[in-house]
Amino acid sequence: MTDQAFAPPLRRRPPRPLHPMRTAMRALRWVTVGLLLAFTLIPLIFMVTTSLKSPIEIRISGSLIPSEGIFWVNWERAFRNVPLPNYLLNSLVVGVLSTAMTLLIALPASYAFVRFRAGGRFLPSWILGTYVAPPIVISVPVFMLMRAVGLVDRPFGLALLHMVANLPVATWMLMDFMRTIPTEIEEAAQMDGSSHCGVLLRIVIPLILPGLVATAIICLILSWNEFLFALILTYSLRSQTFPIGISEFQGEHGLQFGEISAAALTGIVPVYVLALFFQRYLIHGLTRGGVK
Amino acid sequence: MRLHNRSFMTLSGALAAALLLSACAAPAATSAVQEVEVTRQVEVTREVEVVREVVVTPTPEAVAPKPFEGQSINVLTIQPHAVATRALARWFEEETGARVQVLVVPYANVTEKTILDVTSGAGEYDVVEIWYPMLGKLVESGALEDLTQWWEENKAALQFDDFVPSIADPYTLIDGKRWALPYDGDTHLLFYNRELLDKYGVKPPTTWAEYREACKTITEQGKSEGIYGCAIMGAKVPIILLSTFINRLQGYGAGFFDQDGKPTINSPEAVAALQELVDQLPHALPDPKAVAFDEALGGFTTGKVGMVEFWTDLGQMSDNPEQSKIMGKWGAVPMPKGEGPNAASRPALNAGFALGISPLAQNKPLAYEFLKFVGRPDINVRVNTIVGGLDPTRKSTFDAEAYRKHVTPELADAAKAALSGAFAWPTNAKWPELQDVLTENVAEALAGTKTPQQALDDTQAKWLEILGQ
Amino acid sequence: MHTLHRRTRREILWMVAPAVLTLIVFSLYPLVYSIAMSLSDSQLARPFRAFVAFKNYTDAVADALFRGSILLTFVYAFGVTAIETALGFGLALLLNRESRASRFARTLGLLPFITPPVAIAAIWRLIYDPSSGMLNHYLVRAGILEQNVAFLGIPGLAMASVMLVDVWQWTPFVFLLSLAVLASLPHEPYEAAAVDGANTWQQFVHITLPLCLPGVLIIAILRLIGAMKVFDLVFMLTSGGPGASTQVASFYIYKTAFQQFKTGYASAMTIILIIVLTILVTLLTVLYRKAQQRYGL
Repeated sequence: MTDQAFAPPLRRRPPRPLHPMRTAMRALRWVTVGLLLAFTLIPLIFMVTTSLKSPIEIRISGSLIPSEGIFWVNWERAFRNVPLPNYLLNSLVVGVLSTAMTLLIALPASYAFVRFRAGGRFLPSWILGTYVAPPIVISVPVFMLMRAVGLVDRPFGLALLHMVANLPVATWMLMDFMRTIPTEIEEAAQMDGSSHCGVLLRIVIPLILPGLVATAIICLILSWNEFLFALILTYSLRSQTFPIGISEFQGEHGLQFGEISAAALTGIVPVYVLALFFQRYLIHGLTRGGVK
Repeated sequence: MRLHNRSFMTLSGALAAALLLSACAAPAATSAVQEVEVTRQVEVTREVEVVREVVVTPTPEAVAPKPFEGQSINVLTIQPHAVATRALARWFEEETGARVQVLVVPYANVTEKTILDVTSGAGEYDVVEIWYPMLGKLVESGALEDLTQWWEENKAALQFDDFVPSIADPYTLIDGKRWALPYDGDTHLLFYNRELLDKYGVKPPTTWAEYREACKTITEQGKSEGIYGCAIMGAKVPIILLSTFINRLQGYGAGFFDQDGKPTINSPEAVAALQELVDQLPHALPDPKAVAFDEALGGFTTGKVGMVEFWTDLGQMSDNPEQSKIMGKWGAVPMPKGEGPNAASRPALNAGFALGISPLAQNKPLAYEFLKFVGRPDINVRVNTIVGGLDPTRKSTFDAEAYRKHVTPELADAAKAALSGAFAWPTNAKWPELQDVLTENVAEALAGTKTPQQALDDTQAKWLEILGQ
Repeated sequence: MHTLHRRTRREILWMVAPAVLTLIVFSLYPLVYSIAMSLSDSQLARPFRAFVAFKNYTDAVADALFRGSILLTFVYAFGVTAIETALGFGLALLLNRESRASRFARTLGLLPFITPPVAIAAIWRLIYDPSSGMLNHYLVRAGILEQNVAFLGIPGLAMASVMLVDVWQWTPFVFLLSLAVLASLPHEPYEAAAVDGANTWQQFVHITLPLCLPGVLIIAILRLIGAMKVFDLVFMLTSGGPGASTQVASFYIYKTAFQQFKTGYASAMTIILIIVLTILVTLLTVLYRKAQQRYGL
């Protein structure tokens, strides 16, 4: 492990001798990281233990450790009372579809904005402007629109809306990443006779891979957790997504905290695995020096 | 899915015979499946009903002709009633061969979903569940089918007079027409923890002042051990906060409107009732402003709370070993009285639901058939003897042996008495707006940003404006 | 910059058209519909009953609860954005290195963002619970609190408590994008600096920070807009209470549109909110462009 702080990793830096000051810095860094991770993880650990507590123990003790043995029944019921796999599948379809559509549309647009100043300042600003509208009232005309084109209660309809909602985020993030590419690289490629699309595909995308991956993960998660449009636009198991499914644990006896925790943890797994898989591109992706 | 089913039906008339044959072959397989389910579910209290059910359902019935075989309807229900509505759907399917798809939404969103479905012309729902104070709004919105004629035609089968009189009209009647079928009769009782009350030498209260004193006594002595005299649901959600307020409002003999329909929400009685509520807050489980259904329920069933006003099925939950530490140690009394000349012990119809039919229902005959099925007295008993989130709407159900055994005879009597004299929330088309203004102001009184007098004066002024008076 | 020949122009058009068309259909249409509703007496079931000009707008401006909700929205959004940006970018800096421990910590840091909001609200309600909550359980045992506190029941504290949940949920958003910004920094400046003998701190101040600034600023703007629209956490944790102390604009609009069914009035409030946010975002993007011109590549 290198000890350099606040800088992107260089490849194979020669190890430096440890210095007392550096050791202290290192300790401080890991203490900070440790505290932040504790803040991040404790509620999740609490969620895990809540999923293993009986309803009565949940109500009696706020302890992180179940004291009356492990109560597996929550997990069993979470799956039996609510068709979780069905909801998860819908969420996955909607999430992947909307992310793919978002990137497909946002990539060329942001490239045109950055390289050719297409639409001047107005167009990018207008795109960001569409992100400003709070979705609640908007959901009424959107519902009418989706109803008119027959996309109510269809996974594709929801994916379409999530794409629209995430487009500004994706466009602006990608624009920022593309700005960091030196124009000489692209111009060199153009000399070789590549079209702009070709340059985008073969030069730009590999260069902004970390940014692209981060944007994709963000879009996927935003879609995965979106609640309001999903609530308004879906009716049945044909298209209802995981956030809707999980709200079903508000049962006749109040909120089933144990079951909802078990269900939520189940829902975290697929996205987490996806994020884990793509994570390595976040840092490794490329070293600019190598391309030049 | 459902469209597919329907077009499939029309297109495959020729296959009807084959379908019938398969229907005859089906029962054996079905019952086998159900038995497997039973063995899996036996230990789980929440689903005990399945066990009884299989015994009840005779196989020969399945062989009888099923008039609605192959047809389907969509029924919109709220999450707390998902278990009950799904059970009804299953029984209806067994009896008629129809397919009932139960679509579940959070109770907070049920009205907007219903209205939007009709306004947009989507028409996905055939039968919808209604929180009864929204009835006027739904009717005004054109979101409900007029059931007056249907009630007339089915008088005998539906036995309208058997519905508890206090709910029969409020749940169904707007402007002289009937729009719905009572589904879930909800009211509050004052539950208490006998052990705690005995320990601290307190008797179940009969007036709100006694209640406050009792609550104070217990809290003062028990606080250090985490014991509180009472839990008050003061979270800022209309169905929660207004239930709490109306319980007191009724005790002081106050109402919302006078004979001529003029608001009287800032009458001295109403202000006294809100003042009483505010005075009770410091002694209750902290902090009433953050206490909703789950917090109150949890506090009471774990034995931390001496008294709570709650829906009648708290009795069942308190006797559920998985959920409760106070099995057999609880009791219930009618709502306390207020003070002054109009003081009365009068519960209110807090929550409460009905079923209606969407004017855009794609299979109206089947929707009517489903309503008729749900409205049957024997079905009312059957659905109220499972743990499904419903409470009886019929007098005969309260008296039925099966129900009395299910909830204990004492609770059945107490619930019946409470429901019978209960005060109905307004159901006019302006009520959604009015209740929001009231909720906002009562919440401010609880938070101390307005005095009770100010809060209700402001409510009165705003109500007059909304009603155009 | 270049003189574009026709082929290039057409190509550019094709690159931008899908985004623009999609947004026109799905964004402009609802916006126009909402503006029309805001100028009329509209109910959810019966839109456009009568043209009332700007009555809904004058009502909204006169509505103390609405004005209060806008103020709360600003407090909320700026508060959480500042904290999330600091924490998220800071954590990204600390974990931007190749080591097994860092890689592990990076993936864990994402988890809250993946958790469904309904479950987040449920678990935090348990954490904050005044009688059996985790926070009270440990704070009282540690002697930090004398007795249990109702975190969601006290005005002011309730707002802070909801904001804490927001920080928990959304810091990973900033963190993840910050990592990507750091990963796309060029190496040459660092190599040059190393030759000049600059130490780590100098590198950070003179290279990393300026180069990252535009990227971090745009992340913060996106997050700020998101926080301005906060709805689900408030809806599930406090419903705007106690009193009106957590009643942010989105929630107030929701109540008006879907609980009172006054969609005309709700639309007017939405349009006002959009105008306010647009002004704010325009100012911020100007700032962003300045930062970019000054430090950008």
